[in-house]
Amino acid sequence: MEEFEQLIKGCIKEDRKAQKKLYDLFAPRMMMICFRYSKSTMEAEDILQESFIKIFGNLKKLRETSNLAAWIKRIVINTALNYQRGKLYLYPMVDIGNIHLSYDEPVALSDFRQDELLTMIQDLPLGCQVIFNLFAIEGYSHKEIAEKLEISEGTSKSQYSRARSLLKQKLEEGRNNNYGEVRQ
Amino acid sequence: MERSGNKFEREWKDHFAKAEIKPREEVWTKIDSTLANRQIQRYRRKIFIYKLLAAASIVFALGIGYFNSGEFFRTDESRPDQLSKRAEAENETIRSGENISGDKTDPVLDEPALTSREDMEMINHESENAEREDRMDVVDQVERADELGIVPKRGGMERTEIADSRGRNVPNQAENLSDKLIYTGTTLPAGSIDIHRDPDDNRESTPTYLPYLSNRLNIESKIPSQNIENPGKKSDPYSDDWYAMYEETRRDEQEDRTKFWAGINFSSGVFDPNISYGNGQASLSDQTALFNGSADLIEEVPSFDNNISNFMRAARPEETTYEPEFSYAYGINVGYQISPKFIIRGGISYLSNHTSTTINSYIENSATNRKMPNQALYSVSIESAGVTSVNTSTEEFKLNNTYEFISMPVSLGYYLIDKKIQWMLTAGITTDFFLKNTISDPSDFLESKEIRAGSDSPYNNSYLNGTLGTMVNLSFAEHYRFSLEPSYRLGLSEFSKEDAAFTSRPSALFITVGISYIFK
Repeated sequence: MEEFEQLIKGCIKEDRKAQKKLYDLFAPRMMMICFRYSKSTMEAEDILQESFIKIFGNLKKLRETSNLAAWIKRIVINTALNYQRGKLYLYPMVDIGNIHLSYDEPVALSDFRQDELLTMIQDLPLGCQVIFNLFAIEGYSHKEIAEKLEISEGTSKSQYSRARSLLKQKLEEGRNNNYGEVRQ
Repeated sequence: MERSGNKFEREWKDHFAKAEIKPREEVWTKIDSTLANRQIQRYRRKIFIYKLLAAASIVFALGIGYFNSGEFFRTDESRPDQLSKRAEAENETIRSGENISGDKTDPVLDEPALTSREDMEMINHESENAEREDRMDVVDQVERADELGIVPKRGGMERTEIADSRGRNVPNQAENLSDKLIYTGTTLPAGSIDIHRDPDDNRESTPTYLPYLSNRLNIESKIPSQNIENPGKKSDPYSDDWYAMYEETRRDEQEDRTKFWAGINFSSGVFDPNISYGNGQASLSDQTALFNGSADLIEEVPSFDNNISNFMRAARPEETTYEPEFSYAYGINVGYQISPKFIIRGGISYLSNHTSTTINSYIENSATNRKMPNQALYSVSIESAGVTSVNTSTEEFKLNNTYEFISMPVSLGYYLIDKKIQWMLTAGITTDFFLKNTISDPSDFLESKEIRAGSDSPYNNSYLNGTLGTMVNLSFAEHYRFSLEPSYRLGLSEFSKEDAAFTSRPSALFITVGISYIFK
């Protein structure tokens, strides 16, 4: 823990070696988050780059070093949302209405590789992609998402419902393709 | 909806909980280079501020040095109030018996007393050539003193001798005056001539020194010449009347310093528009007003409803940083001393504030291939711009941003020190009238745009600043004054309009130098 604090102090003092060490420690996991919120590798790298610049610039504001991982994750997610914000408004999310959500259907993600699942998320429409990530993986409630994106709670729910059905469809297709490949 | 109990979400969450992808090395290289650039920019800003302070200090030091090397401070010492203080201090020394050797030492200057006319001339020679005429007067006076039997004193002089030798009660004021005469001593050290040792106690003889002595006091113009020539009357230096005149002179001099002045000023410093986009997001109503897209939202050109502010919220730069750059102002100012401690002043200046803006998005008309900073939409209509997209770039664009104003400050000043060098605290309000904002891209990738004051501008036509500062003044050549004033300004009202996509409450740090002409 002491070593960890030394590392943070080094980063605050703009010691490039300490900054690189912190980057190496968190970048792989954060890169995955960036991928989940972006459509391409280039976008994900841009988000990661911008996130770490913000992280290094604001480290001195971090009050408790024990929260570092959560703090870094929050910055990365916010940067990703900012990055996509312009596009979100160009392609606005609307309330689809009459949502029918079912929560008991079984899923088997273990049949799929990580990169396949990631591609499924990336292939979602941007609004659905962002809301799916925030709700299903990050654990935000629809109310929080609505506040964060300044949309209505209903829009968040309907977009999520759409994301969910699209993903199920893709999972089904993937499973069929895999079975097909096996059969062949 | 209870999410936590849902298998679907839980599976996805678990699956990605510890998922990792190693980024390419190039990502760190870019981060490293951006961090290095920011460090350099920060150092440059610091260096710029240090340079500014150093330049101001050099100008100030040169000014001090120049005035210190000349007549400047000596005339200051000759001011009656200064003389009075120093004379009293020396009196105290004399009364306490220090340096009263009785022989070869001047009790005041701690130097051998002058013994002859040559000595006196030698000292006079040390004064400026401009005093040649004055010196000749002194020689004449000494000759006259010789004729009258007044002899230069060799040793120290005790105050008690004055009263005793005169055989009358010498008023305190007169004694003070004697002290003052002593302290004109750069050219005529007191004690060198004992004007009180006139063997005949001839009071008429003593005023013959008055022209010279009073000149040293810098008050000759206040003493009617006929009185000097007719010392039996009011010009008698030992009378209360004479002292009353002297007091009056002092008051006049002080009143002279209550003045009106006008001058020119030049300021340089740094300006920060403090632009903040906040959440910067369109509200739901904005969105529905802006976009009529479908749920799939694919490849649709949105309808902007010609609402620039709403569009700007959508088209806000995704990442914008503002860096203060060199800013300057020049103008004229006037001031008036409303009381011994307070002044009021105002003026008008042209203000050119510069910042650099780093953005990574821009608007584009794909048909004409015109690319513009997002803010350009304030100077062109959406239709004429034919905007079709807001683009986010992987590169950053550094734009030059110039804000021009007419600035009208009004402030009060309070003197902390009011001598030849004055030091005051200042506080006031400045109204800045917005002229235009020019955004240009040095790389010419984006078109340059001007946003002028008006209804289409996101900026208010004017806004208020509170100003705090401290000013040092240095008077020279009787009617002129040099001033140096570091000050800090902070917007009291918003520079941005209420419906703008951002908020701006600028702040600035300026160092102002100026020269004023004082009307007495």
